[in-house]
Amino acid sequence: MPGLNKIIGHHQSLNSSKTEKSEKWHWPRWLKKRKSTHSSSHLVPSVPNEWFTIETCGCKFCRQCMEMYAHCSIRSGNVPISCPDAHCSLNDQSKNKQGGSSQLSRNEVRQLVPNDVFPLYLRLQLNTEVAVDPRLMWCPRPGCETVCTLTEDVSPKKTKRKFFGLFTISRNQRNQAVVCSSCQFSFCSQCKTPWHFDTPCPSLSRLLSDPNKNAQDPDDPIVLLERDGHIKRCPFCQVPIERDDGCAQMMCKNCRHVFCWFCLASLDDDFMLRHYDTGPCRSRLGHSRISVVWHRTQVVSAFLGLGVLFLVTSPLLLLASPCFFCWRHHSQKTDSSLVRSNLDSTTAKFVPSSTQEHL
Amino acid sequence: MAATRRLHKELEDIKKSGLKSFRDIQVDEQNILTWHGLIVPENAPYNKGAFRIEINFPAEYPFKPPKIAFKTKIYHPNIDEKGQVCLPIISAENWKPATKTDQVIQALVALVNDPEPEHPLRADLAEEYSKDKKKFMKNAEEFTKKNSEKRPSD
Repeated sequence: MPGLNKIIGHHQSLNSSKTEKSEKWHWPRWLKKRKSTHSSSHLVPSVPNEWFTIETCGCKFCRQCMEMYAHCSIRSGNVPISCPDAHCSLNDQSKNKQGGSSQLSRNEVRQLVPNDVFPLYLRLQLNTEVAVDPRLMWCPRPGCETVCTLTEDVSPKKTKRKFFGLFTISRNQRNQAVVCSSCQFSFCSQCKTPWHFDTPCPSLSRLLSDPNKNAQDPDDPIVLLERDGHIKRCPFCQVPIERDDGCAQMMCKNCRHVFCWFCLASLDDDFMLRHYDTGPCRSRLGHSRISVVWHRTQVVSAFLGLGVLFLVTSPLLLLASPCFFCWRHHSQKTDSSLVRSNLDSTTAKFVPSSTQEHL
Repeated sequence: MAATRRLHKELEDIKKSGLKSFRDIQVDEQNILTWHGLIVPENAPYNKGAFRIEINFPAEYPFKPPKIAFKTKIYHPNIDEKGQVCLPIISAENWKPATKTDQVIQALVALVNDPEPEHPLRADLAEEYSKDKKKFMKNAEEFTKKNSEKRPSD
C-alpha cells in the first residue's frame, strides 16, 4: 500500500486523461468523421491563399493560419509545436502509446516563421531536449552555455527493479562528476556545485535539513509549498513530491525509493512498516490498525508462499542442476575459440554491471 | 484582427445551431472578446435552474485558449466559489487552435451535468459527492433553487 504521491506536473497528466474522456463522449459526430479525411481548414476565416500540410499527420491548414499559430506558439514558449487539431488521428493514437502528439518538424517551422524568430525556436527546442533527457544538462557556470553529457546512464528505467523487496533497487541515479567540454569545469551531476567526490551534496543536505534556507526566491511556489510542508523532496533523487492525500508511506515515482513522509527515513526494506511502531513517527502512518495488520499478513503470506514454492520445487531443481552443469560444460567444450572468447567477454561485462545494480 | 474575424463567425454559427443547453448569448458589439450566456443543464440537481457564465477570449485567440467564469453561484465539485472552473480542453497545455467555442461549451455543459469528483476544485463537495450522494443531491438542489437563474420557458 504505497502512499499516494505526486510529482509536480501530475495535474497535467490528469488533464490529458480528462480530455480524452471528454473527447470520447462529448464531441459531435460530424467532427469525428473529419478525423480520417484530413480535410483542409482555416483556424481564422480568411481568403485561402495556400494550404500547408503537416508531414507527420497529413492534416491540412491554411498557410497563413499556420504561420500565425507557429509564431504565437514560439512567442509563448510552447515548443514543440503540435498539430492544431485536437482530433487529428495521429494525436489520438500516439497519445495512448507515448503520450505525445503529431509535431511540426524543424524544417516545417523554418518555413512558417520569420528568420528572426527561428533562432528562438531552436533555443526553446534545445531547452526542452535538455530538460527531458536525463543524460543532458547545462553547464552550471554562469556565462558558459554548454550542454554536457553524463557518462553513466542515469535513466530512471533502470531503477525499476523491485520484487517484494528481495532485490535492492539499483541506484543508477548516484551523483557523478561531469566535465564541461568548453570551460573544463568539473561539477556534480546532482547539486551542480564543484565536484565533491564521495562526500554528500552540500547544498542538498542543507536543503533537506532546513527547507527555509532555500528561500533564495521567496515567491517561488515550490519554495513556498515546501515551507508549508505540502511539498518535500525525495531523499534520494531530490524530485519535489506533493502529498495531498493518503498515508505517510511514500514512493517516489521517479526513482521508486520508499520513504516516510514525516522524517524522510528510508522504508525500502521495511515491509512490515515497523517504522510506525516506535519513535517519533509512531502511529502517524495514517492507516487503521486493522489495515496495517492485514498488510503484514499479506507480506508474511507472500513470503510463506515463496518459501513453500521453493520447497516444492527444490527436488526438481536439485535433479535439474547436474543436467544444467553438464550442458554448460558440453557447450563450452564444443564451441569454437572465437565464440568462447565472445562468451568470456560478455560474462566479464555482465558481472560488474550486475553487481553495480545491486549495490 | 484574427480573433475578431473568427469570433464573429463562431458566434454566428452558435446562434444558428440553437444549442439548447447554452442560451441567451449576449455579446457587446464593441468588444467581441467577452461573451455572456446562460448554461441550462439537463441533469439533476442542476436542472432546477440556469447558470450565467462569462467567456473571455484573449487578443491572441484562437492561438491562446479562452477563459470561462461562472457568474451564478453553483454547488459543484469542479467549480469553486469564485466561479472558476477547471476545464481540461481550455488549459494552456491542452489547447488546440482548431477547437471551436461550441465544443468548449459542450464540454463545459457535460462537466456541469456529470461532475468529476476525481479532479475537484472543491474537495469538500467532491468528498460529499462520492461518499454521501443523497446528501450532496439534496444540498445541491437547495443551493440551485436558492441561487440560480430562472430557466428559459421554451
